[in-house]
Parts: sequence; C-alpha cells; structure tokens
Amino acid sequence: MTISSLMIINKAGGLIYQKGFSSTPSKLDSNEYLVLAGTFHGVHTISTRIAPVPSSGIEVIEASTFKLHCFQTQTGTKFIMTTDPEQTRVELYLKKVYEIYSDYVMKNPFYTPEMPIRCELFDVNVLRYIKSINESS
Amino acid sequence: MIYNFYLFNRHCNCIYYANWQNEKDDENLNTKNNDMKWEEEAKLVYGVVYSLRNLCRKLSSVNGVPEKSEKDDDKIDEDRGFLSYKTNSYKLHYYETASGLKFVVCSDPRTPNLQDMLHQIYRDIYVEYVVKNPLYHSDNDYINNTLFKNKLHEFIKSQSK
Repeated sequence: MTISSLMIINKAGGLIYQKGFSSTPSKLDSNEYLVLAGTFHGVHTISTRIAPVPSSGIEVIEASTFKLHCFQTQTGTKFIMTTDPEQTRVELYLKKVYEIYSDYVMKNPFYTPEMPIRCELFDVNVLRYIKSINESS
Repeated sequence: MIYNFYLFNRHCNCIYYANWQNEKDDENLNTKNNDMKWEEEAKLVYGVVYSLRNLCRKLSSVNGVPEKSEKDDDKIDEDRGFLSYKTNSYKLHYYETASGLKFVVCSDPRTPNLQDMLHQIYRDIYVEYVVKNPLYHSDNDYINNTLFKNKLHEFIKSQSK
C-alpha cells in the first residue's frame, strides 16, 4: 500500500504542484503532466454533465494497476493522489494535505494564488507526511 | 441499480443506447429528463472514457509498469486499463473488447466491479444476437435488433434486482 504521487490543480485546470513518491523515476516530463492535469480537469467537469442523477465530479478512478483519488475544495482547487489499488482512507489523507497546503502555501506571504507552488516548507511537510503513511502501511 | 448503457464501435459511434432510469423512456428515447439528447450525451461519454483511457495508460507507466513501445500503443491492454470511475452519486464502468468495442454502464456508486457483467453482455448477448444475426453486416449502424434489445433488458433487470 503506497501513495505514488500527488498533484494539485488550480481552479482553471492548471497544474500547480506535482510530486512523485515512488523510488522509480517518473517517465513523464512536466509538459505531459500539464496535459494530464488539463485533461482531468475537463473530464471532471463533463462527468457532472453526463450524470444520470445530479452529481459531483469524479472522486475515484479505478484502473487495473492503480487508483486515482480526487478531492475538490470549495474554491475549486483539486488535490489528486495516485495510489495502488488496495490503498484505503485516501480521502482522509487528501484532506490532511489540504491542511498542510493551507498552512504552508496559503499563509505564505510570497505565494501568488493560482500560481505554481514553490514553497520549501510545504515540500518538506508533505514529504514527511506521505512518507509516514507509506512506511506505516 | 443500473442507470444506462452505451455501446460504442471502433469508429467511435454509439451503436446502442439504453436507459433504465425511467421505464417509460423505453419508447421515447429521444427525450430525456435533463434536456440533453442521448446522441449528444453519448458523444460526451465517449470523450470522457477515451480521455480517461489515455490518462490511465500514461499514469500507469508512472506507477510501476514500464511504458510500452509506440507500436503497441493502439493495442488493447487489459492489464492496466481504465476500469471505472466514481462520483458521489454514480459510477461509470468501462469494458473494451479486443476488437475495439467499448461497453459503458452507469450504475449507483455502491456497485462493485462490473467488468465481468460487461464481458458477459458481450459474450452472451452481443455476439449471440448481433454478430450471429445473418442480416447484420455493417458494424456502423445503430443496433435495431429486438432480440438483442429484449435479452439485454432481461439481463440487466436480472442483475439489478
């Protein structure tokens, strides 16, 4: 049970943070991640349009080798985690990451909202948190 | 509970659509309660599953499975494909056959994995009543086959009791 990556997408569909936590280096370059984030943002919106009953956007995507969890905040920012298929309680982890984001990104006076996140404290704390989850399971 | 069913051929056309939300919609497929024609909706659904299929393929190469070479790109890869997605009120299941047919079903969010059921629809209903029908020759037309329609209806009813 591991969390393999974290992405944060702003309300316009731009990727503002991406980090992989697995030991194997990522094969995708930053452009491809931007495209994926944009695609996901679009699909997330369409998924509410094609709903047979009134619905929110995508919360979990299941693929055969991984799961992708999405948490959308009230302001439209999306937190996305990819994990292996057996991982549980990811909603909780995403909310905790949102807390870390509020503390170390939103309260950072040098951060411009909706722009890519370059905050050292956020990096350190997220990494510590994800590591503690990956090691405990 | 199963809400609706879409079948797409490999040319991206929706060749069958059924809806079980409201029984009287069976006769009147063109008017749905959320004022979108089903043809329009089917195009959106196709766009969503197509994008998610590519997204999953890209991401699964990051999550441990090595990326395949370019020439294998169009082949169906059952080992790491997109299976389903879930929102707070529905779940969409996706199954693709080796010949490029795409089966899509929307159900309520508590439904477990429906891959087997979709495979069963393909094997026992689509192949039996559509492919083996001697009058069926173009795979690009909407399926107007009463036997297929009835069998599918029966099958879904038996599954979503």
